[in-house]
Amino acid sequence: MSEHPNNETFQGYLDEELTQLERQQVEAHLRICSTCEAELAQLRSLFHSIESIPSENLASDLVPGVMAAVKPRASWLPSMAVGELLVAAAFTLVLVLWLGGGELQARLGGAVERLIAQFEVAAAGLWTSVGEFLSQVPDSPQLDFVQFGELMGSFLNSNSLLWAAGAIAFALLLLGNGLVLRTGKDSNV
Amino acid sequence: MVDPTDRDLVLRTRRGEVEAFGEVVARYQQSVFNVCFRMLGERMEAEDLAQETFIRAYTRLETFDVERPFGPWIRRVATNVCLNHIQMQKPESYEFDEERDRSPTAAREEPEASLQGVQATEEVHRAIVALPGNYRAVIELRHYQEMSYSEIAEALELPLSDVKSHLYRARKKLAELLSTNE
Repeated sequence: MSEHPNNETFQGYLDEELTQLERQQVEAHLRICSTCEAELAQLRSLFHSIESIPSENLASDLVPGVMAAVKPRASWLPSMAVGELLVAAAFTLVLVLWLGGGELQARLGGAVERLIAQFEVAAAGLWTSVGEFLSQVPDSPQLDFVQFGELMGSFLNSNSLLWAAGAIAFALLLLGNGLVLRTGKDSNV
Repeated sequence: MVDPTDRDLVLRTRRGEVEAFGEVVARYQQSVFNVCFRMLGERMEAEDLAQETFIRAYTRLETFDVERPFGPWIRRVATNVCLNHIQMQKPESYEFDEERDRSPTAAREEPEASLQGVQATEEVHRAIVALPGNYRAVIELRHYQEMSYSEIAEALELPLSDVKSHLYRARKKLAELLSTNE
């Protein structure tokens, strides 16, 4: 660097914000230019002066004033224990399904399917009423309500218990893990 | 019994244990007060702003990343609280006023001793307080909180180029002010 570096470059040099190449160029110039060397020394002295302000002692304790001003936080997050409990529940449910899912489906599946069938009868009545009402409204779109209802019902029937339990386990895992992460707990603790 | 870490105290505060925040205040009140005092130059005002810093920090504790150290975060909050305070005050001339800023025992009687000892540091402090708020903030963050340019840009939500120019102008102004008083 043959030209004199400007003051901003010297500030960057002292702040250690120059690239390695820029730094080398400044240092090479300083070796041959006493004017710049003096300017840098002056700047360094200013930096030292700026940083020379001593610490002051606080005259009074701020704790009482701050504590009077802050209100107890409503614990808007469920405690971490709840999160961990949900994760544990999810794993337990998965384990139960893995070991005894077939047996459960055999024992309880029938009862669940009967419950779903009753629900379907009630829902079908309501569904038909809505369809009839809409068909009387002028210019309403012509929708095939019966076909749509049958489609929805078919989802509920096949292996309904296992699917529902799996979905609940997955939801518990997501929710519990989310709570644990959100409250800041990690494996290092 | 081992003292709880800052991280533990912050997590407990987040869960509703307000007493844990009292411990945080006790730990950091001295350093936060010093940030405010350096930026404002008035003890009472600095104490008020230090208190406000902790109250603001409490309301925004969710934004603090518990994996990072608490000290730099709270001092950065203090810098911003002071900067906002300065900017909200009635604008005034920040020309260095010798009559106003010199104490009765100032270095006028001992010009050869300026920039040395207690009087010199008081002069430096007065010169810093005479700067506009945004210049004071960059000086505080760079020289006392040892932040890089990019960290200062992030803390003050300024472009990097503004940080460089503020620092450059602040130091130039300080050099002028201090040379005037030699």
